Amino acid sequence: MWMKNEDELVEAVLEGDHSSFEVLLKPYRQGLLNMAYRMTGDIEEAKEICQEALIRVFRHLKTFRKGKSFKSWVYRITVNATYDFLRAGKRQKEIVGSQLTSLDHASRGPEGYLLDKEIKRKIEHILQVLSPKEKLIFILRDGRGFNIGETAKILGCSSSSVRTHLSRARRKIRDRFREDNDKRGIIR
Amino acid sequence: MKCKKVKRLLPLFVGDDLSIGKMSRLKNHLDRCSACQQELHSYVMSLDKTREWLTGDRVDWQTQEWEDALEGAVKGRPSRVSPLSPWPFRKSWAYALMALLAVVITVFVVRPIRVDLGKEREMYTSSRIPSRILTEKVQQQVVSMTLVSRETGLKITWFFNKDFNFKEEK
Repeated sequence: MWMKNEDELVEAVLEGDHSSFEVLLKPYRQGLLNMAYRMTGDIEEAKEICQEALIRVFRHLKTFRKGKSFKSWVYRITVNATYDFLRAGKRQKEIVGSQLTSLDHASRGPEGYLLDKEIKRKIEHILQVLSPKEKLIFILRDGRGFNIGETAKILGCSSSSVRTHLSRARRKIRDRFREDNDKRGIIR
Repeated sequence: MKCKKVKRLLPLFVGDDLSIGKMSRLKNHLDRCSACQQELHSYVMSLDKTREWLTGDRVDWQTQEWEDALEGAVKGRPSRVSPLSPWPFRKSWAYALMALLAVVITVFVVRPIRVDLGKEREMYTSSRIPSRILTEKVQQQVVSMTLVSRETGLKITWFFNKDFNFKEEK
């Protein structure tokens, strides 16, 4: 089956074919949600951020320049929506295990659920030491697999700035692991 | 490359985020330095574990939620402007309308009034004020003459009309 590329899909949406919007955004469905989820630690807040980001994407689609990376553009909008959300102080930072509404989580039974909860707690504990920018860069690079250039483009900063923050984030994470191992008496 | 510099670059080396030249120089150092190797090991372990956890803890939309989110994006958020607000809601439209009203008021209301005022002034100056008032000098109607006695201090004043006919004595 012949598949339209992203530029063609953008064109189709602008011409009024709203079904193409779903096709255009489908590859980023999970990625955007997970990025926002990592930043807030709350699935409902992450969905709220993504909803806002989708509205912005649709509204500003005519400003997207053909030939550019649609993926970076969409992620950049979501990052901005996340910043706006965090800045507005809307979040309530109590993470409740029962908010894990993922289909994967739900289908693994009670043991799987406890394991998920434990992993979630660990991630929160590790990422806690990072500043919002370090966290975002770490998530984009090591969580979502963007390279340094793409991450810089998404955040609208230089590659050297991304490298600096990434380096600091990885060092902080390593130090957190060390501290935890020290507490548990594990000899390195 | 010295250990201090290697330790500074290790967080980026562990994720292949260095240039090829720096990577090979760092590898050469690591082959010879066991302290830096240990340091590298701690980075590899922490990064691998964190990535593994990040991969293990992924969330996804319920199908219906995703469809609703897309539909919400296409329709846009509900308008925050009350339906009772006066038309037009958009600022640009409101400004355009105001400018248009200003032009209309200037052309059809302000200008005719000014034209009328001009005409009225003309009429007033030409017909209502007698022309002699505007052209002739105002003439003195009454003339008085006073005589004061040095010895007694008596004061006598005679009044005459404009033709110098005697009118009154005080």
